[in-house]
Amino acid sequence: MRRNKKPQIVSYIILALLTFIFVYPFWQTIVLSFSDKVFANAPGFKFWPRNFTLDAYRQVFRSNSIWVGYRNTIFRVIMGGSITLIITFCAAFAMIHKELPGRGVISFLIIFTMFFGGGMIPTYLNLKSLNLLNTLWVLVLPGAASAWNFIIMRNFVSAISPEIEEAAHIDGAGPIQTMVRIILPLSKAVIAVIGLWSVVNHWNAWFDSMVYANKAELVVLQTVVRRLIDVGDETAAAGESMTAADSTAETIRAATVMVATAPILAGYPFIQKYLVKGTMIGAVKG
Amino acid sequence: MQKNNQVINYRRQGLLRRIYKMRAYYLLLLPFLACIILFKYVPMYGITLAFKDFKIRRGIVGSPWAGLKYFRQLFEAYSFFEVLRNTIIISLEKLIFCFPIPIVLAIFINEIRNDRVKKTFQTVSYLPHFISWIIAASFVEDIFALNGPINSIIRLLGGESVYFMADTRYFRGLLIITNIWKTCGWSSIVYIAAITGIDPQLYEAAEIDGAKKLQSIWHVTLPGIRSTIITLFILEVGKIMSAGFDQIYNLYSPVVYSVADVLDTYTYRQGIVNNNYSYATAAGLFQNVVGFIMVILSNLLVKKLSDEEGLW
Repeated sequence: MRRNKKPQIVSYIILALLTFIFVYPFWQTIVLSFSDKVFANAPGFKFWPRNFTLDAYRQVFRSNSIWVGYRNTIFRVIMGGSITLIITFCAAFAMIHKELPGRGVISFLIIFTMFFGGGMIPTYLNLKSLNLLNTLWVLVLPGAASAWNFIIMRNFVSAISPEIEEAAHIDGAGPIQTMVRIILPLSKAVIAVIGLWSVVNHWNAWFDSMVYANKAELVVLQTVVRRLIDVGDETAAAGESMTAADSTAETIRAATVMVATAPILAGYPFIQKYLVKGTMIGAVKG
Repeated sequence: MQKNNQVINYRRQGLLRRIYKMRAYYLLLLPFLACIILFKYVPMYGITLAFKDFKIRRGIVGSPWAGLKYFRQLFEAYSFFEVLRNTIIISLEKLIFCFPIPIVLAIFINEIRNDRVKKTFQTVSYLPHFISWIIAASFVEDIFALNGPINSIIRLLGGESVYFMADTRYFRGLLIITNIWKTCGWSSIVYIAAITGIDPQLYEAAEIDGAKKLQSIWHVTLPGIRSTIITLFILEVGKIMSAGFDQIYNLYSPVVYSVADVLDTYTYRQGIVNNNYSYATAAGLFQNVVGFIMVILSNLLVKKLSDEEGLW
């Protein structure tokens, strides 16, 4: 190869710079969370904690809301993920049967919701009239059925050879038996994709929690962080700059962000390849 | 005649029998469909609220009709036009400045020869995708704070510090920059896949013709992913009515409403915060209908273009 060294060096410098840009905000938050308040208020880059302290974490874990947030986030991740997977898989399996009367209409009904919706206010009032406001279920049920997940699931399941299903019928298996015993084990890949997708979405969801369930015992991790940012926003709105008193809030905010984000940061390198696969299926079919 | 009736009868019976025979499948469909109807279609009926005077005791159905009163209010309000303008400007700015970045990034990633470096860098670039805008907003607040790193650099270069989060001159720029940071890595995936699909013989041929690196990117890579770029661009244009609620809501404050308030955030404040339900529903309906038309048109266009792919 007749490649010379110079462009290589340039591209490694760009690579290092981009890596820095992607990672530094996370790193600074980690540093802040282990720093004392005075350092938090110092100007410039913060590459390493000075006066290392666990005070911020101690204070975060002492507050009740972070534990409540964890409990509710885990609830919505597990419950929401399971419900989404179960109902989407069952629906996808049913809909691959071309001889099902009404299949076209049902398909249209589902896909139409990708393009048009009632909007924020009618959705809110609907949840209100269903008596779901200020319950944990409002975090789980309204988003459980999504047309997008359905399409990806159906495309995958319909690619499984129909002969496999026929063989099961000949052996005397009913539809539900066939689904659980034959199709489900063959659909592990797409179930992993949609399951992980829904875990990440539930972990990061905040709007529903903020608007539909804003009681203290229903907070999720994201809303716990959001409340801390709101405090900072009020200072900004008043046109004041950060004073020393606010820097306490800054280290605590950093620690709260870390506590709320650590599981995602630890897990995402392992799950990203499944989600990349999901994105590709979506891009090709969508 | 009689024979015809018989056929119809037979068919009808056949249909019922078929439905009965497939009852297990309907049962499996039921939970999903129930969720769709309950949480997606019932709210669509709630759209009528935009044409009614909402009385909370009487509910949506019982409230009296008000005709186009709320639309008239909407189109007469100065704030609405400011919000509409902001929405379109922010969307267009994102289209111009954010859209090309993942393409450049994908080409750059594709040029990394060392596989482990490449994989690691890709994973790093996905990092911001996996956090919510709440967490990202917390980062933005730290990085762009008065004593944050960006302002330190500005001061080092002899400039005046800027409070980006509360400055109407810079706030939209902040939206662009932070949006690029958060989305470019993940958005590059599709382009990387498209580049992988280009026939390597084309590169060899270009090299034989004496093409330099940049020339082969320009003459082989870009034409090779052109249809992907066009498709994604059109789909992005279709989303012009939503400028990014999650991002803006978590970054803006009343000081920058004049440049940053968009249809979504306006609807939210009018409806959920001020309980101005009918008015907010009208604003939301306007956004949804225009958005719907844009999305459908863009999808049709994509479909038409990809059918004619061979002609290009």
